[in-house]
Amino acid sequence: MATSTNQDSKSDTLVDRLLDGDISVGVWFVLPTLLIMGVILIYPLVRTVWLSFHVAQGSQYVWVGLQNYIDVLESDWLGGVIFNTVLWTGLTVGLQFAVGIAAAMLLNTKFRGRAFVRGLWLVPWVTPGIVAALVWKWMYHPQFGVLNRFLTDIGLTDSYIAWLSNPDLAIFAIILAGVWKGFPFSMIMYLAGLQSINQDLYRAAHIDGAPWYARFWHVTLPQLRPVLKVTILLTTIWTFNYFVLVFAMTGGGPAGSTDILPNKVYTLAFNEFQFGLSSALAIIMFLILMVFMVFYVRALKQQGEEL
Amino acid sequence: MSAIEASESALMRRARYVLIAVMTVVITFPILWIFLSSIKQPDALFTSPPQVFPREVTLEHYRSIITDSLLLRYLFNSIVVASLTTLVSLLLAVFAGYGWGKFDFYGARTTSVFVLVSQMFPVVVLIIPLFELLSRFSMLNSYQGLVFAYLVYTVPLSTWMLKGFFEGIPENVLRAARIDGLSELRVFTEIALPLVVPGIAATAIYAFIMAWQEFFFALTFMQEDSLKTLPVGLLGFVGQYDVSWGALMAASFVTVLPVTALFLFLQRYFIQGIASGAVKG
Amino acid sequence: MSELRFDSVSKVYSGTTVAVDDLDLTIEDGEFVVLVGPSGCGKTTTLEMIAGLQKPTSGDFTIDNEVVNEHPPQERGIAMVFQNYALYPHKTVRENITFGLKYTTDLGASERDEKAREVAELLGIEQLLDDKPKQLSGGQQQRVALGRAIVRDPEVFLLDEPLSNLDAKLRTEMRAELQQLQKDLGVTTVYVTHDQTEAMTMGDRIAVLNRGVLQQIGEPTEVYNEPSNEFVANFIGSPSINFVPGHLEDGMVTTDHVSVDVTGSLIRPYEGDTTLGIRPQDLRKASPDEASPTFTATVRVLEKLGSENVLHLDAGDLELVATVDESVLPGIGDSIELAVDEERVHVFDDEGKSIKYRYNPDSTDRPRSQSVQEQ
Repeated sequence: MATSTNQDSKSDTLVDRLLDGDISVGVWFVLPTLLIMGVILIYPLVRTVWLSFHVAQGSQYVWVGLQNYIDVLESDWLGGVIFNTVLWTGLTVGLQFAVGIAAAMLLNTKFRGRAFVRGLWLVPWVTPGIVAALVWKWMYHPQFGVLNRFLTDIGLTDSYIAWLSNPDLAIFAIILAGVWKGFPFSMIMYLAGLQSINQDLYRAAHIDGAPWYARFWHVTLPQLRPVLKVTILLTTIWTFNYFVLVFAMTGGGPAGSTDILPNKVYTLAFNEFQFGLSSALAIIMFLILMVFMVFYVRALKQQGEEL
Repeated sequence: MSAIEASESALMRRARYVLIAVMTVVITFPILWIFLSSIKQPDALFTSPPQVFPREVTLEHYRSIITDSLLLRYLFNSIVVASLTTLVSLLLAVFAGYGWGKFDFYGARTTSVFVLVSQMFPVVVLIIPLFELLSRFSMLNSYQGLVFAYLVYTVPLSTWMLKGFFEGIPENVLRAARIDGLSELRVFTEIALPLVVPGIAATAIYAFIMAWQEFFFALTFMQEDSLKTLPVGLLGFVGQYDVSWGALMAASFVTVLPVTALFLFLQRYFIQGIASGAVKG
Repeated sequence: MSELRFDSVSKVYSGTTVAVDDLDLTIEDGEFVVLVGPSGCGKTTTLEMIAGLQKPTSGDFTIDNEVVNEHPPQERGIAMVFQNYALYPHKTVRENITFGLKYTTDLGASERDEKAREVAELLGIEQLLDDKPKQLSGGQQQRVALGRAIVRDPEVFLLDEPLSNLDAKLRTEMRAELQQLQKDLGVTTVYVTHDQTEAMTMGDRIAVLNRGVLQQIGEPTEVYNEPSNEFVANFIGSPSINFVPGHLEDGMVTTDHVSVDVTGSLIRPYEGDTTLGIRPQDLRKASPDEASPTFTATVRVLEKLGSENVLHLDAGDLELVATVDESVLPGIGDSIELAVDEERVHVFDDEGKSIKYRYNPDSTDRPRSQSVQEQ
């Protein structure tokens, strides 16, 4: 606990209290960041809301009420985009969880060169997204791509697959790249969680005769629960927002089969210059995200952390 | 761990090692593929089926991206922007992390949660107004404009990471310093700051990597070719109808190499920081 | 030199939580006062208000008749030792000790180092001056923390549970050493602890706090023998006092198990429901021709401590603890007759306030206990 403010002065104005030195000096430390955040976060948010009620006519913005929202909701692409977004987010997060926890458990065992291997497994995460997009696109190349070569070598297929130009496959191809790019974050979180589990619990479970799967189910998972919750929420939010793979690998195609919400918002604004429509979609997207943010903050609180 | 190993048979251990090896190959393969593709003869890139290892190594692609494109310029831009972003983010986050981590003031909780949540704001919600804002202040196509916009990415998590580190300092150590007669600013600079140096290192790497790999702000706010950063510069090798894959992979390798090296070198700090920033809240 | 005084001081957190409630307390110059109570009783808050780390919400705190509510720590002539020592981890022992001198005195670097050496010699840690705290044992860290406080030559010495992280043996040693040090330096000392043994053995006076309210302040034997209420009686003394519900009428306390004649020993007239308080040490095995009131109880557990035995007993639905001579060795389940002398029982009224004290061997020529709850 830090020094608390004097109770008698609760009724004074904020400015008075600042000048009196009555308010904790903590305020001065956070003030610059708060101001900057106000300019680069709050203002844009408010402005986007404003834009979502206007359309550009020449250099002027004209108030159109809810028309942009109506246009979005009545558009023929919205259903597909939402479907793709849910598929992309759900599958990517799920696979990141599975791969992440498996990798974390492997890293939590003893072997030589563990720190180095951990470093290598984290490399996808520090690989710039655009580089990941381009190299996966190259690996997916129907004719010259290494993936097709590999699959024919092991006899899984004898004809070359056009991964990114097949509307049924493209999104899964991107999801695979997304899992590769994003799983290390989950892995590192789960590893931190695993390492904080009291080893006596495993000793106790051993003495109780629990086999390895029972130890995983009754010790590891319950102990990881808080970390799991926070990590899954965090990766959900990030994946939902993440569109550099789509943007650079397919641009949303073929035939809109990989178009996801953030990509649509971006292309509406900067390819079609429909700022009003784009803003309306952005606000809808933001509202969906708010739900996850609320859950995230709650999960952190449940973890018993002082926020 | 000891409990797990006690029950592990030799067979299981071997299976575990094989699994670790296979995963390492799969995970690192795309990076390896970038490198292998970048040193292949141009015609060796386009054989069907593709060869995995180059029969003949060439640095032709590296020569071409250096002489025929602005790659070195992009590299310079990326270094300038990422370094400046790191510097400014740290400056803000070090103060803010201390303020939120060690003081209890009116609105401390609400504002710190706001900053935490803000790292999840969709970039596309902010990008149009930021574009307008930078354009109004003539900061499009400028380093300072892009750095300013990057604070959206870097400041929230940097602040939370450092907040976690500051919270790790026992309250009584700071009190002892106050009793020893230090002013609040001195308590901060003489006692608190030296104790979070590992946290500052972690945060610095984090901010640098974030700024280094950012794509959409750079794409939108830096339209002049000579001011592009590496990620956006890469797109120059992607033509409308065909892609110069060799040059692209060489340029990609140049983009990946600095952050990966930096990261592998400093990963200990980094991991500690990320875990404390995101898990501990 | 320095007298500390609280005048109706209260400390309220976030508008609702009362940490310290209307505290009146005077600590004389050169006195060693122990603030004791369970966790959350307000003792640490009180200490921090003395230190200047917290401001009172209302009331005045004075040092030598000067109100210092708003004075920052460094202007109060205090030094403090913290529970976990709070050494600066990145500084050597020498730097830890001299750090405060740098900001509170005009001494030059060599003079500061000289003082650090003197203090280190006094505490027997001169060979550790160039080590970092991490390299030291708990006891050594403790000495550095003390050194850091002593070197400031403070007028008031504040200690916040300074021994709680030491192992039992070291704690006993340090207890004596600290007392000796305080007597040698003659510095007004306020010591916070939750350990009643530390309180009993170290303080000139003990202040017992509960839920932010001062229950009693007095010399250790006084607080032990003449507690102001059931809380103090229960908190001070180990093992804890036995309480037996009863009724007081015509000078007789009657309970389901024993009756005690308290005629003439009440500190104020009272009749009605009471609680009888009997310290485990005051229960003894009844002799065949016992004159004092007696209990019959069944032995549930027997703890042999060597010099004495602790009996856990059942008397009907009442659980009792008795500390008896090592020669008394009943078997588990045995029935035993226990006696208690009338002059040694405590009696409390229906609000838990004392109406009869235990016999106090050295209470004759001393003013009556400053019993706060009787207002």
